[in-house]
Amino acid sequence: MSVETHKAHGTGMGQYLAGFILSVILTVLAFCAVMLHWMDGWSISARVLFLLGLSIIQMVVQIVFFLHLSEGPDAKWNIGSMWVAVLCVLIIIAGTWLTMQHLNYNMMGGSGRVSRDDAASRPAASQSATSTEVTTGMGVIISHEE
Amino acid sequence: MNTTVVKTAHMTGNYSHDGGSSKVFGFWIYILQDLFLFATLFANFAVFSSAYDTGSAGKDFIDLPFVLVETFLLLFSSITYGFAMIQMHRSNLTGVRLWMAITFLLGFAFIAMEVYEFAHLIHEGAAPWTSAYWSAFFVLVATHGIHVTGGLIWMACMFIHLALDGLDAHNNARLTCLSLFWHFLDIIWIGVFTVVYLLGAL
Repeated sequence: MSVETHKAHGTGMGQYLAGFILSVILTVLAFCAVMLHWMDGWSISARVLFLLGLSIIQMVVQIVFFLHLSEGPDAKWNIGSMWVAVLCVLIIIAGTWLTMQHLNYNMMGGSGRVSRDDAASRPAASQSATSTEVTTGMGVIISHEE
Repeated sequence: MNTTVVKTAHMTGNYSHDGGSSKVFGFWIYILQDLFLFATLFANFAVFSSAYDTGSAGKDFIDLPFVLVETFLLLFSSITYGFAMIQMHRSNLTGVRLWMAITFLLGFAFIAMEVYEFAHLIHEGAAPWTSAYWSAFFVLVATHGIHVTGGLIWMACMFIHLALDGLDAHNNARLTCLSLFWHFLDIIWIGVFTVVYLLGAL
């Protein structure tokens, strides 16, 4: 009897274990790629796409195997509302990123962003700080002309 | 065995659709709006991902083995909560308590590691007030940590509910909502460890 009720809910041990094993593989793959320098020959955008791709695959795996949205009387509503939310999330993240990239480009410096080399040499350059830096509401902007 | 059948029939019958099912759907809507909160924080972090100003760079403080242990604590806690749900569907109260206790301990260990990490960062001079990068870092990671803490408090409350009423329809709906919440936090953590730690360490 308990097997029947258990099947009726569809939340079998196998589903959780499959989701868990896939998540472990995807997590270990992502960490190894960075920690063991597997991607050293790749361009920076290829590395970013690879890691973001792995994370999105793992999110889908966990949604499918752990959340069990397609069960119960509200299955259609669960999934429909999720797609609306996913669309909004993409608009929020991609829209913010694109807008701020254009803003940074047009502001020539932008929102206190500093490259790694600049950050390392900042303490030495701080004596002449007043002449090369412009303080704005968004933080310190380094002029590109210096 | 008979009680199992009766309880399950009760769950999928009248009560469930009025109380349990719509409760779970309502909670799912809450989770989706929580997702919006995290989306804005991720966008915020992406925009300020190299805004170190005069402070230290994120890369200097990223300890990937430490983060890997945190990740596995959350991943294990996700599947142990899944086992608690399986025990709930089998109406096995002892099993639910056992697996939820293990989930609680794993979640607690995660929070302990995160608090240690934050204390270490602030001590080393990478505090929320250092630069836009560290503000964005602490807001994103700590918001996730506060949610996990909320989940732990919820679990503590569930032990009291279970002690009072056992696995009745109300408690089954609560356990189902908590399962959505807990798995959702693990899914958000995938985004955190990828965007903050792995991309940060490149």
